[in-house]
Amino acid sequence: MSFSHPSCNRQPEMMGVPSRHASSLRTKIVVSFFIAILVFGICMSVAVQSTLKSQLEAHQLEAAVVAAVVRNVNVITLGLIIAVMVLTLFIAIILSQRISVRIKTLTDSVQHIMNGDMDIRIDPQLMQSNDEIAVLAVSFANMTNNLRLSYHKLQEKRTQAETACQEAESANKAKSQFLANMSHEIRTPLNAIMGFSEVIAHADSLEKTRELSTTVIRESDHLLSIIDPILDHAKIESGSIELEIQPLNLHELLQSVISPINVLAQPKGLLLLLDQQPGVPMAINGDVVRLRQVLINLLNNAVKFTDRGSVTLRVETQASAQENNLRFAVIDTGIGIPADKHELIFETFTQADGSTTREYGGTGLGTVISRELVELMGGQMGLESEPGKGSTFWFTIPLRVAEAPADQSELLSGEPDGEITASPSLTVLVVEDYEPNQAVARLHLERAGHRVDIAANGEEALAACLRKRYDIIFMDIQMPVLDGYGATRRILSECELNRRTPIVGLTANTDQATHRLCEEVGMVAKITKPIRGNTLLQAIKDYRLCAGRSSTPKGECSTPTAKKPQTESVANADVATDMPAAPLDMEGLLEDHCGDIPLIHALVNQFLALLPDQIRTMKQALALCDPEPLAQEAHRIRGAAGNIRATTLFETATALEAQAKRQAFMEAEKTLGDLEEAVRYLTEYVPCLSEFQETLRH
Amino acid sequence: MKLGGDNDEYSTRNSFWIASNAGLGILTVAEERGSQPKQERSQLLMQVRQVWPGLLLACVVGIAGFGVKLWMNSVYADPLLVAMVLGICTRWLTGNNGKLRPGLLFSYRFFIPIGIVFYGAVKLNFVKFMQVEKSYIALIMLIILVYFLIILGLGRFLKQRKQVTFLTATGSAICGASAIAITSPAVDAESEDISVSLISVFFASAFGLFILLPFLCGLMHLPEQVYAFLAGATLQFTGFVKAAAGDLPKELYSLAVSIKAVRYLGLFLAIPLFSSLARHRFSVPWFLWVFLVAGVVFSFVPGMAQRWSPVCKPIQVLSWSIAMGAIGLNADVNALLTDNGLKALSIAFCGFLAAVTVFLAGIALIQ
Repeated sequence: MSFSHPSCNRQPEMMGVPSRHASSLRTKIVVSFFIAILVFGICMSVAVQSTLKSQLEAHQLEAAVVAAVVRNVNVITLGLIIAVMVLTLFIAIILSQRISVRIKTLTDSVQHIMNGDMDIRIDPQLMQSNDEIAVLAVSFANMTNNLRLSYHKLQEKRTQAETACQEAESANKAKSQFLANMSHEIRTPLNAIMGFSEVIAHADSLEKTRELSTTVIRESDHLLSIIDPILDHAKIESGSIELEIQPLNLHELLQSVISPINVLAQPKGLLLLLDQQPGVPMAINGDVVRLRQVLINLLNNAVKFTDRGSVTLRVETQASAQENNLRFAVIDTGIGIPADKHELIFETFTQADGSTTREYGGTGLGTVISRELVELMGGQMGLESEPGKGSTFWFTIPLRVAEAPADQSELLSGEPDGEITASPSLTVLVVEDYEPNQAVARLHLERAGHRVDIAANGEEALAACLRKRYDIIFMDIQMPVLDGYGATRRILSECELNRRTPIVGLTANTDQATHRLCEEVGMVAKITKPIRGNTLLQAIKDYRLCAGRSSTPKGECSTPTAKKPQTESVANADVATDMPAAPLDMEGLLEDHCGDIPLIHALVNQFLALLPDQIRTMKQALALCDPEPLAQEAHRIRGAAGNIRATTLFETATALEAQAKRQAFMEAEKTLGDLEEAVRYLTEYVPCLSEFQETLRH
Repeated sequence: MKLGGDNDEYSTRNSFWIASNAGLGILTVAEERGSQPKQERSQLLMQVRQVWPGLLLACVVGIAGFGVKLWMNSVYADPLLVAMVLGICTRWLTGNNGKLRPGLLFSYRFFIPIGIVFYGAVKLNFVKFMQVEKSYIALIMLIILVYFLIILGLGRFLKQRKQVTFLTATGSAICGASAIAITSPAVDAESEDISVSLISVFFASAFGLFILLPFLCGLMHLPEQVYAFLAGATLQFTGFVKAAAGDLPKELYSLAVSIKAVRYLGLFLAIPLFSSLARHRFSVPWFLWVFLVAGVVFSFVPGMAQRWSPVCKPIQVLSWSIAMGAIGLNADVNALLTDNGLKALSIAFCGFLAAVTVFLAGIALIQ
């Protein structure tokens, strides 16, 4: 027989009490009742027997009679006592059962809650009576409700935390993967740059050095194109990017976007279409640079992932009750994207397919940056795509019609105004703490014929300015000892000799705050690093223009970052007459190739790479007085030169071909010399293409 | 063993070892006093310091129990039971005191074997056993067997602690508190086991003495001889047997006491059996051999019992009174209100009812 309920037995064990001390309410009630009634029965028995005996003995009855009476009384009284004991025990068991069952129900509920089942409900029957157990049940029910609410809240928070943790983990993983990819992407051009630089260091001929330098410049451009999106994204993430809302000509913007993309689309045989719906205003307010960045990125991606068919840029207005939007959609007939990868496209550091970077290159940040920029502009970006059926990347921006479109040719046009020309020799101070940058600036400036002094920090610059007057100062912003801001302030206030000297800031920061600070301290302009020769020369040119208008306030003459370095045509240049004609017809070339400088660069390099062998062949033919190979090679050079609009070379090669055909070897020898000279001039000109490109890019 | 709110197995064992060491130290202190290094002596003194409060209190309670018996001169006032009840009451009133524990454990471990040895001298009378009729002896053995089987079976069925079951079985089948006291060291029982089994046996015995036996006697018109035999064969405490047969003629009183004395022989079955069951190996404790030797010497050496029993009996009673007092002081009355307590009560009552039933059936067969 066991009076203890298993659930009751569990309690002490759970509380760490040994099982032999296990006790239950039922046990206590039953034992207490039993002992009490036993003691009562014994007392009754003793009392009855002793009283009876003494009473009977007092009456001096016979012992046998006394014994018989006592025996009979015992049977009755003790039988009654035994009956009462059994009954009491029975009542005790039933009573304890009723109490313990109700407590057990409560205990079971506690067990459920302990096991994490918070949805357990207290039996309403427990709360119906008015005794202490009912009060306990009501209190317990209230406590359970509160506990349930807290538990559910806690669960919710926990789920959120777990989700956040998972997201953070996956983001971290994606970031690591991204870094691994980017490490590879960055190291590849870096490897080329370092390798070629090393070769250049040991090169023994100028021609070879120039040829290798071209590769180094090209790889540097590639490296910059990888790093730029990462920095853009970081800026957006940190919230340091600011929009420059100004009136813009939408038509010009679209044209400026379509032209360079067309260069990419044509070789793949893709049709690039601009679908401008009726009602789209020409003049709107917006950040032309950022809008163009988004469009270029989307179109670039569309062309990249489309092998045949077309890429369409559709622009339309979208009216709603609240506001009017301008909707841009880039529709391609490319590989498409599965629905489950749509969101991944817009997630940082992820691409729909991990192999995309390996196959197509790029950082995968393009769409992320685009979306962030669109959202910064107050719009939305989305994607509609199915595998094999192409993709439509769209975005909207609030439509803010401008009264008159701005002249944004400088910002948008892919066509250069002209090349940077040499300026009269000036005295230039370069303030820069990083030695390689000092060397780059010195080389670019000295190559242009300027006299260059170098200062490693603001203090040195101040000392130099106290000693000597400079025509222009290029001032790094972040430097030890005294930074660029402080140095500028002090030079302009303390150095009598250089109080009117224009100071151009050099910084890697492209944010508006830095730009404003530069203006505040008195800098006439700010150049964004990396420093390109052309940019420096353009700044000097701007300075010269500014210097010519001495009354012009500083603010008007500068800010190449806003205006971007300008290029002038050779015909308009002050010193154009002193310089030989340009080896390339850049205007024509840009027209031919829709302003795609890298393509032009590549074509020229390809052409130049073949020339040494061709010239060697022609020299051998001339030595052997063999007109056929001479004419053949001259013809090839003529054709190729015509393609790249190398006018001088084209004319020289034409003359050489004619001379070869006429077997006028004496004349041909002289013409071949001219041709070699023209090639040399073209080779020297090639690095300027990179600067040209940089100028356009800014 | 309930040792209070902060008790645990470790402290119990620790206390036991301290007590044992102290006991051993006291026993050997006289021999080794001269040779012990200073350090050991100071350690011994420290142990004595730990033991003496509990030992003193156990002695006071035991002497009080003995005094009550002398003062009341009642068969109901068993000094062992009185000492234990006094100890339980003292503990209940004063609460648990950890400082007393080593001394109480020492008292129990030290005085029980002493009492056992003197108990053999006083109570183990083989001559008296041989005077009892063979049929009665057979019935007594059957009743002892029934007690053992029923209590051990129920204990196993109810999953009672082995020690409590064994002590309840010996206490019920043989001679109440004395048997429990003798068996407890052989089965490694703790104070709580002893108190639970002793109280359960006491209540069953009291129920038999005051309620069941008088009721059956009246109901079944049992002759006085059968009543004396019933009391001697089934009641657990010697005092209760004397009380039950107190109103009977002298020869029937002697019969009841003799029959009760025959049950002492059960100790030679119970102790090795339960000791083996508890320790999983056959074991007869040293004091049982001394107990047997004392019984044989006092039974068969002429003049020994008459000369030395008056000396030995108070020593035996006093020793066990102190031991029982120590058990009561170390026991918690609430132990009876646990599942183990309820099981022990159930087992003791069922065993007693079964024994009475078997007796009635057996006596009917004999007659």
